[in-house]
Amino acid sequence: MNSIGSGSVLGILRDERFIKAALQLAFTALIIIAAISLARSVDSSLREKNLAPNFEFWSTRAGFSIGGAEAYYSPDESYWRAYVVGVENTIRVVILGLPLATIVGIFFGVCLLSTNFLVKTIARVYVEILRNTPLLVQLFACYFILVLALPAIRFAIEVPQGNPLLALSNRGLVLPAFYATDRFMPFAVIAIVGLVMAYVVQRELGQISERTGKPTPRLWIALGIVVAAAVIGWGVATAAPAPETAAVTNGSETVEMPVSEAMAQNLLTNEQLREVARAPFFMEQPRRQGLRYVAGVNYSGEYIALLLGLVVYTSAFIAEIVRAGIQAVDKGQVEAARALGFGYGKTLRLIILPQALRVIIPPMGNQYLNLAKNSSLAIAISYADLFQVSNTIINQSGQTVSVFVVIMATYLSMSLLISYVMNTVNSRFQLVTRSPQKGGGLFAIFAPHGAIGSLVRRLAPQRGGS
Amino acid sequence: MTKTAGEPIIICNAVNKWFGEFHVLRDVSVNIAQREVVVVIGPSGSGKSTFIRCINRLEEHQEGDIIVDGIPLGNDIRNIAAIRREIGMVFQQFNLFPHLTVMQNISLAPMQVRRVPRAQAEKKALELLERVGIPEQAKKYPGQLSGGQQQRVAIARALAMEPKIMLFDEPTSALDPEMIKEVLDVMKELALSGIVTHEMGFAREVADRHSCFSSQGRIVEEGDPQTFFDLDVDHHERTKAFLSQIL
Repeated sequence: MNSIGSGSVLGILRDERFIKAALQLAFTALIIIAAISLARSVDSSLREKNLAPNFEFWSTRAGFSIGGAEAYYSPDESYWRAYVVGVENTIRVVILGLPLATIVGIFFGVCLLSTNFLVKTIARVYVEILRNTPLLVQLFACYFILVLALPAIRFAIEVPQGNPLLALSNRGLVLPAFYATDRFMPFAVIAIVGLVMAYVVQRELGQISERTGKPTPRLWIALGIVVAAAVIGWGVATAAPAPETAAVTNGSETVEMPVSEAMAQNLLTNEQLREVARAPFFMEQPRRQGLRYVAGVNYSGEYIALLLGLVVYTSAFIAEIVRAGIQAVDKGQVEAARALGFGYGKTLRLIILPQALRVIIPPMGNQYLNLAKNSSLAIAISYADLFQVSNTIINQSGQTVSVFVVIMATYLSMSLLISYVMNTVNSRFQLVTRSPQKGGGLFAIFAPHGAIGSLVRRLAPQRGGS
Repeated sequence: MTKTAGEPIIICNAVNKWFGEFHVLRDVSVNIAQREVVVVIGPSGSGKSTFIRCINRLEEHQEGDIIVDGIPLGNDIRNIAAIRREIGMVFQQFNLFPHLTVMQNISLAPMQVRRVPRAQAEKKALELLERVGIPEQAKKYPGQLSGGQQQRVAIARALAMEPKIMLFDEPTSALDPEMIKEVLDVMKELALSGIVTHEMGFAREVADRHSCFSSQGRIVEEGDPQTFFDLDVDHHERTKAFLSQIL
């Protein structure tokens, strides 16, 4: 027999590994039983009240319109399609909100560490005000004080005046739209080849300078290659002459007129603009017709208020996280780097940041989740995000349970995706120490050297044993 | 001073330093010759660490001159950088970079600061690891090493920059006396100068000279190791009191 214990039943019952395994199994069983009974009781009570989940209604006609989505959604489409528009609107906020909040947060975090009294105080005031007032209040303030105080659309602020690249009113922001022309493909191909070449050359030069110890201006060389590729691409793409006249519909008759004249009168369709432009892409400037901007990309006032509110609020927390992360790096690290002759920039890049990121990333992930989930407050300023649209769906269809199941599943998937990305990033920055934590959990007990594995080996008939 | 030979490599002349109101260093004047190893002893709080941290400008001195290898130490950042290139420092807390392997810890500064090619920097790092007795640890991270091993890596890291001078700030907390003798032997071999601070009379055989700080941040006595630790010799009162506690 092995020396750890006797093979008797009593011995096994006192075996620490057996006790742990048994407790885990008992606990798992308990949870499964509880979950099943809960599901049954919920199901039966919902049936009693005639609220049983029904997922078929999703394909019936929605019948309500969604602000800002008129171009690609009509009330005749299904509830499901309306829901998807809501999800797209949520993603539109989150996907821009995360990087913006990060940039603004890092900026204020670094300011919090500044030795300049004014800079530090301004950053501190910013952080404290935003951290200590409710997000809902801030969103209302953003919407009613900032956005709705902008001039009405007839008096929209246009920069530059008359022929705008940017138009701002209480309905939102309009920016130029860029469309690819037929000449875009050759330009894109040459530009991509240039980017790849720049990357390869940059990497090769890096390796050469590591081998020889001699620094090379590799970033400048890479930048030069990119610029050269862009210029060549532009030249190739614009080599062929463009048509000088176009057939335009002016009122009822169609006439052939010079392109420049037609453009001045805004008579060309987008398709014709694509043909006559002598560039890889053309820019459509914001253009107002009556009380609406018909050209350019529209960002509604609600969208801007929500994005601004979420970014500003989250950035205050990120600023504190960045400050704490940098301060968490031991002062001795800076001293050691200085003593070895590292300058300020290299100390920051090679010594401080890699260690600060280790502290910063996990709480940063929490803030990203907060931003994503807080986007549901869009309903307060009636931005048509997934929760606002869902609310309308519930009001119209009465299908509370199934809509909420879908809402939960959507937010959960979004959060899990963010968590997954952050965990992956995080694991790359963790320090290696003397006693790495072994993966534990329920399944560990089934591993060959886990509790059950060892017990099985002990209980099995010993071969050639004493 | 029998062993001192050649020009002084470190000249400190009437160095004064204050931490706010507190006068840490008072008129400290020491010359350290090339290849000379000086151990600075004294009670804790007497300014030993502050003194050697002033020499590579981790602390700023307010009065007096510090000249290292002919370069005056002041606010000129080029001088500070030049002086730091000549001085290697080993800290009480090691201050290894925890996110880098032992090999990277040692080769990073030569590659980044001295622009040594990678292959050469790594070869040198392995040689140094061999010298401090832990060549098999090159691929590990500092967190995986014992205190003594970490201190050896810290010494190898400082030596990798090929300094002319080594500063050791209280190295004993994790370093056994045998090890510091080895390190000091290495320094002798490489013809380095050095300053070691210590709270105890320590490694007296290897040091050329001892200086004793009083609790007021003043050097009260200097002497060669034979006479310095001899209680029968006529010592300064403060040194006597200190030595009687540690011997």
